[in-house]
Amino acid sequence: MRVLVARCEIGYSGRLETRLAPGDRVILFKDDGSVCVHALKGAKPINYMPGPTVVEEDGELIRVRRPASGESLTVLVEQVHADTRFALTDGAELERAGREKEIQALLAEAMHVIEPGLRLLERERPTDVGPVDLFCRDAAGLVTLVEVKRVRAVAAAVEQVIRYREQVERDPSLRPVRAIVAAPDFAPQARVLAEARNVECIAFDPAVLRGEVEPALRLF
Amino acid sequence: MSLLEAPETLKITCSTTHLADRLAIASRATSTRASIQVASGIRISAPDAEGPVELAATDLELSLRVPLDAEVEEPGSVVLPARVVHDIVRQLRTDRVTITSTSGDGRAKITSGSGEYGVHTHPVEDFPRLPEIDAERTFELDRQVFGGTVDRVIRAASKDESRPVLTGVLVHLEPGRLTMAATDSYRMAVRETALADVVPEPVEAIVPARALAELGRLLGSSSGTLAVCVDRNMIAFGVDGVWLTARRIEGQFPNFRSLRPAAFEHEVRLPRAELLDVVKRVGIFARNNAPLRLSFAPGELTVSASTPDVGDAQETIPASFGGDPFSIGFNADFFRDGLDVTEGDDTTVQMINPIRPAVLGGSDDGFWYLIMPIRLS
Repeated sequence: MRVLVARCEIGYSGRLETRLAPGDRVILFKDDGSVCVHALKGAKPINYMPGPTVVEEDGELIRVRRPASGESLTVLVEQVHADTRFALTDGAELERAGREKEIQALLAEAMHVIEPGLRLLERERPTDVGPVDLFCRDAAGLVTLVEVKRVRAVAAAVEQVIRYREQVERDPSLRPVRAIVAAPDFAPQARVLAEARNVECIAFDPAVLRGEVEPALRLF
Repeated sequence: MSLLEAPETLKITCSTTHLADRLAIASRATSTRASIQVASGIRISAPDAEGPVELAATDLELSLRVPLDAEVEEPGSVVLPARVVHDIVRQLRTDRVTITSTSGDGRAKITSGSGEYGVHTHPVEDFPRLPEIDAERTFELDRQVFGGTVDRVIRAASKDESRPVLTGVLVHLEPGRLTMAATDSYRMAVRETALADVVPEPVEAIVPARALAELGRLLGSSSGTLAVCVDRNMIAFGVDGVWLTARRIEGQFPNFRSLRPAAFEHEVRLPRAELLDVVKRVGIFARNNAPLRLSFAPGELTVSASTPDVGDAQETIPASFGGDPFSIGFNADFFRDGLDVTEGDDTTVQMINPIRPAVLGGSDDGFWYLIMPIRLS
C-alpha cells in the first residue's frame, strides 16, 4: 500500500472527462491495483479506479491506466507532503450484523415476538412467486405467512406478502390465509396498504431479538 | 360558456372573518392522503334559501360539521379544496365574501371586494357520506367535567397505529360516573369523575384520542353545552352547533383496574411544582431513551440524567423518604406528563421496586397515573 499526500491536479478520462484543479489530496495505491483519491472532505473518494491498473510515473506526472476499460487517471503533482509505502496484511472480512436471514432465524426461534401461539411450520417455503420467509399456523390453526424485513418495511414488502398469500390460497385446503409483515418499523404507505389489504404489521426491536438489550418494561 | 355565464348552482354571502373561523374548524377534519382527493375538500351545503348552511369535512375516520351564518342566494352544494380556500379567505381584508359555484365545469368563484378567485372543485357526489346524528339518542353532559377528564388522560394514549385500541381513550359513562382511561403500554392514566348529568344507558366506547383532542379544541373556544350521541359504530359530540363524529375503535381495551398494584413498598410525598420544574430541567439530559434517574435517600430525592455526547445533570430536593436508599428510572417525558396532569400542591409517588410499575397521584382521589420504570444500568 502506498499513501501519497500531495498537492496535485487530477484528470480522468473514461466514462466521462473530469478535471480536478490543484488542491491537497490523499491518494491510496492499493495492493490489488485499485487507486482512490480522497479530498479533504467527504467520506467517498473524489476519484477512484478499480484494479488491476498500470501505474506509470514520469517525474511530476503519475498515469494510472485500467486496461480492462480503457480508463485513465492523470495526476500532476505540485508538492509532495508525504509519500510512504507500507507492507500491510489484512485477511479479515467484514461481518455484517442484522442480515435478513439472521433476523429471520432469530424470529423463527422467538415466534411469540410476532404473535403468542404462532407455530413455525417451515422457513423459506417455496411458492411460484418466491419463498415465504416464515410459513406458520396461528393459535387458531390458520395458515399464517410472515414476511420478515430487517429494516423499515415499505409498501413493496406488503405487496410481496400479498402475492404469497394469493399463491398459497390457490390451495383450498389452506384457506383462509393470514399475512403478516414483521419489521423494525413501517413506512406510512406500508401501513395504509396493509390495512386496506388485510395484512398485519408487527414491529420488533432487532436489538432485543439479538439479546443485546433488555426489552423495555411494559405494563402489559 | 365562461365561468361568469354558467348557471349558478350555489351562491352564498357571509362575513369574511366568520367564514375564515368556520373553515379553520372544518379543515381540521380534512384528509391529507393523496389517494382520497375529495376528502381533502370541504363541502358547503345550502339545501334551500331559508335553511342553514353547513361546512363539512371528513378524513373517513373523523368528521366535522360546522354551521355557517350566510345569506343563500342560490341553494346547492360544492366541495372546495380546503387548504386553498382557507388560505385565500383568511387573507381577505374585506367584510363580506361570496362563494359561487357553477354546474358542470368543476370550478367555483370566491368574490370579495374587487378580488375574484377561481378554484377547482371536487365532485359533490364523490364526497363521503357522513354519519347521521340520531336526536333521540343524544344527551347532554357537563362540558367542564368531560373536557377536564379528557385533558387528564389523553397524553397517555398511544401514537403507534400498530395497536389501534391503544390509540383511543376508553370512555365509560354510567349513571353518576364518568371514567376515562388511556394507555400506550408504558404508562396509563385513569380518571373517574362524579357525573350529575343523566346518562340514558351505560356506554363504553374506545374513542380515537385524535377525536377527543379536536373536541378539546372545540370546547376551549366555545361556551355552549356538550351534546353526545353514541351509535354502534360511531360517537358524536356537539358543541355550539358544531358536530364532531368519530369512528369507534373496535377491540378489547386492557383491563386497567387489574394493572394497578394493590400494595407498594415506598410512598413518597413531593412538592409537585418544584419536582415538575426539576424534571423539566434535568429531563433535557435524558435523551435517546436515557432514563431520568430518581435516587431516594433519607430526607431527599436526587433527580439526575445523563446522555452521551449531550451531558449530564442532577438536582436534589427535600423528600419525605425514610427507608434504605433506592433508585428508579423513568422515561423523562412520561414522568413529566404524569406530574403535569396530577392536581394539587403535592404529588404522591408510590413504588414497589425498580422494575415494577409506580403510581403518581395528587389531591384528586379519582385520578391515577401508572408508569412503568426504565431499567437502570
